[in-house]
Amino acid sequence: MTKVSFWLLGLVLGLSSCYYDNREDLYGSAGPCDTTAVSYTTHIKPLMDQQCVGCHGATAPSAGISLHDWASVKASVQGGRFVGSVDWQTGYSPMPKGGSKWTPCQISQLNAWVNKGMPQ
Amino acid sequence: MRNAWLSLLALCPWAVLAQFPLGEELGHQSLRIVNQQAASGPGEGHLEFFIQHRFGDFAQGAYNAFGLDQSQIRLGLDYGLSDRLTLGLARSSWGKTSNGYFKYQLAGLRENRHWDLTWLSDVSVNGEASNVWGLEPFYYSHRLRYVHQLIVGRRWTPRFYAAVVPGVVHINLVDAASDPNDLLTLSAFARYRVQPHINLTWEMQNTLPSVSGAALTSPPMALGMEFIEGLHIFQLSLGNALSMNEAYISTANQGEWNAAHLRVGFNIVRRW
Repeated sequence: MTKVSFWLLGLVLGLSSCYYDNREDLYGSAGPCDTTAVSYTTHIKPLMDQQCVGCHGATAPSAGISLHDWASVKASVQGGRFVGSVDWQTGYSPMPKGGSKWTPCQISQLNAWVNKGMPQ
Repeated sequence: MRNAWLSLLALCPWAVLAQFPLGEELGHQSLRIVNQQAASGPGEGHLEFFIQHRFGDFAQGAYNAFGLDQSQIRLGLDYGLSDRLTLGLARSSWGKTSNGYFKYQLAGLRENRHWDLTWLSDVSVNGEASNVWGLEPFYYSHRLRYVHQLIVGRRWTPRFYAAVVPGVVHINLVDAASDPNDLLTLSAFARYRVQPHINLTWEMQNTLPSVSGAALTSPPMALGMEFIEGLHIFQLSLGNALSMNEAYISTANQGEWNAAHLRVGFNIVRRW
């Protein structure tokens, strides 16, 4: 059994591939955050698909809040709870549940998109 | 067909031998409290199959039956290579995450000791499609997280058992450059025997804010009640955690600790 334990330990250590990566450095958003030409299609939708639509999809959405397309996201923002939840503001239910907070750049882009009237 | 039935019949005595005995040490009654790993394993040659299920939170409202219309599920197997060494595999619907672990009981075992000391190492693989991540180029290593924990448990009385669990979670890919890849965690759990076949349980997980700089607003916490039914253990729980995976539960944002954001869940454990 000692031998098995030894090999198991070796396996875990050997297969370990610990990296110290972050999205900002690897994917180039470490520079100035671009909030000049933010649109739903290029900036907001990929975030929605990755972080929100799993629970807030088109069918049987969590809490009845659907975020699957431009119209539904716009309606949710206009409902007044969306930005506070994503920004983890006091008094709001922080989102995404079970996930980490959006990066400062992503939140800035969301705010810029809202301030520009939520263009498609 | 006849051979298949005979094989099933042959398994029966084995199944009877592998029950969860009533009155067993509280530290050894099941491998999980609610989400948290306990110190013990199933014992040499025994296999446990577990189903973990979490509903939506109460904030879903009456239309979604206060969360019952939604669910997250996790299925897994634990096998005791020896009384000390346990191997496990599991798969969660949340994040399509699979994980494998080994758990080695350094001290305690099933002799009549007060203290348990167990080491747990776990690797998790997020299985979501690479286009969901929205990263190009995408590297497989982004999917991986590691957990190492030292489970220190003590039987205070024959009816009360409590443990603290210092640990570390390594996240290969974090969001911001300022986010730490290694998070120190501190968890705790307790189990209280109400009747020979009924226990009350409690658990809590948290990151250490002074190290990570990322304290959670509402750390995961759960209360549970477990019913020991011979070959099965049924665990009913009420908590705020959405994830059931060791690498995510203590580091990810969960629901707040208020009535609207609690969720009901259950675990079913079957031992062979």
